[in-house]
Amino acid sequence: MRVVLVVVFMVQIAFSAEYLVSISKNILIKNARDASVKSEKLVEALSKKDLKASRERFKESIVAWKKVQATYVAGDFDEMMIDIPRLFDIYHHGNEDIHAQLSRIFASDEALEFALFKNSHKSINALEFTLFAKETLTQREFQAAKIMAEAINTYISEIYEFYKANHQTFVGNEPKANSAILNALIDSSYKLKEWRVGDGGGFSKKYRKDADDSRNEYYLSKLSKEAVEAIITAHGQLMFDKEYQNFSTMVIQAGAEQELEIIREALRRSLMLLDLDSESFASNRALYESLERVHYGYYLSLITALQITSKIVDADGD
Amino acid sequence: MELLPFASFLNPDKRLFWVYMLSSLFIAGVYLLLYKKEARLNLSKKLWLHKSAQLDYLYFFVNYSLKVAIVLPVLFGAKEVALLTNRALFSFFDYNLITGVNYQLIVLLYTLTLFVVSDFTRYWLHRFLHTVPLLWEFHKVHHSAKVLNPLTFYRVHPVENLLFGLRYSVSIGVVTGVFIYFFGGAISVVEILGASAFVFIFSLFGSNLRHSHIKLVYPKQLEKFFISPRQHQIHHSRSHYNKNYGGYLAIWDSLFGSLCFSKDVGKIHFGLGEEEKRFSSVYQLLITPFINLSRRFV
Repeated sequence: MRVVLVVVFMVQIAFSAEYLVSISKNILIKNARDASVKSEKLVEALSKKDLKASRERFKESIVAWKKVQATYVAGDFDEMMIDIPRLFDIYHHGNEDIHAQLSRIFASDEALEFALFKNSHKSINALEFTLFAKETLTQREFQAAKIMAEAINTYISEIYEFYKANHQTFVGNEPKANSAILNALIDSSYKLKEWRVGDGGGFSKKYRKDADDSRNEYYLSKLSKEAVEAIITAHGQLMFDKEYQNFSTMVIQAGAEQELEIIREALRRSLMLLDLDSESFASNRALYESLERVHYGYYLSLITALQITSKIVDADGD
Repeated sequence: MELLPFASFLNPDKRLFWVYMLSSLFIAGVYLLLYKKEARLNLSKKLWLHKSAQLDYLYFFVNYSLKVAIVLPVLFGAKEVALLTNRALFSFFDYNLITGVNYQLIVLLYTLTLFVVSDFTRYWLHRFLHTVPLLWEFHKVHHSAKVLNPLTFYRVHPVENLLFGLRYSVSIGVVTGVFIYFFGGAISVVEILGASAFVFIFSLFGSNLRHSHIKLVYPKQLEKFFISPRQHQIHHSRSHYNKNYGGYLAIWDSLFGSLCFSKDVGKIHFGLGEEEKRFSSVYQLLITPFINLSRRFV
């Protein structure tokens, strides 16, 4: 029985799609490891109570985490992992005013381990408020920031460990892996154009002609553009022509090369339109439209890759 | 798509795929062993070399070429319909991607929905081909067959091919557009040897016998749900054109009052009677509908 299992396992490895192995190693695991290391450094900087270094490490963590978030597929392989990102990144989730809650907590003398009892109190968004709402931090605020960063590091490390442990599961189920990647890209591209650029810029359905920079994801730390750039970069890791095989390998194999070029062009244009000098998206409708083309491009390539038209001839009569 | 009609024997999406042909032969063989009296007719030269059958064989090649040259280029594809459906849903309901649902369940649901919706639209188009006078003139080509054989399935006027192609594009496109809207990349079809599982199973169980003289009957309870080869043969009978329009499923006939059970019908006669004479060559199969229409409407 053991021999049979070993043979089955070996055959499974031999037939694992090469591009999935590459995606797992070069993108999923690598990005998660990077985010884990960066968040660890953030904890270290906060331990030293060095605000300037902490803010710099925070920026690095954000950029690394957004890449992981944009290509997050762990939830498709284990339902216990579905909610992990939402536990420590609450942008656009829930209606609670964590700024007011944190201000009350910082003003009180309750032990921080108990006061910061909600997940949202230890989220990236809470940490951003703590680090960037004021010029200086009190001892208590530094202590709170460290608790937050530790919680974030724990979650990101959990994602990293999951990807490592489930590499074989991911590469061994090609249709499911493809579906998970594509849905991550569709979901991420929608939220990128609609929430992260459209809401603040006044282009989204919800806030049409009502621009307000404070809706940007990292308004306080002025890292909104960096976050958007990180997400587009993560899409590029999967879709651009790279030195390693990626999702574009499968898209080309599926016959959607033309559609892939539409996506690539829109991604390149979005990166070009991203003006890192300005923190506002309000005057950048072209970026919103370019990201819309990215989002639409994923559907286009999906429908083409399904090859639903090929069976048309024998769909006839009786 | 294949440019040569012979490729149909190797393509699991085609009714003539060798596996389906072989399974039909096997079922027919068992049937003829059980009903030896039927063997004489079914194995006779008279049947297989009947003028109507010879016309089917020739028309199979002609129709295939016409489909490739004329019908396909003017068809808009299921892809475009899927995209339009997807865009329309976005415009009305914004973004609603459902994630975290069991992948296998969605794949099964998509395969089943494609099958059921396709069979439903097929039922209605087939019914319209009989009930709308203009369309009936084109569908007469199919019913002009005096004897039935698997290639009679392809004895269809190009206009009918076009209509069935459009039906396919619309039904498959809409279902795909809706599923992609809700489930994104999580859609795929459960396949057996490269064909949709449901189509494969139904084709394996004697789809090719629908156009044959093998009177394969299902138990009455089963014929309420699935069209048996005999039920389709009854549809080809001159006095039962308005019965059993269904493709694979009989539930549509049952729901819309056109179901007829095999045991309720005795001897049947195929073809169009006197009018058959006007469908006795490839040229006539292609032209007669237009002549009839000009007489009827001009």
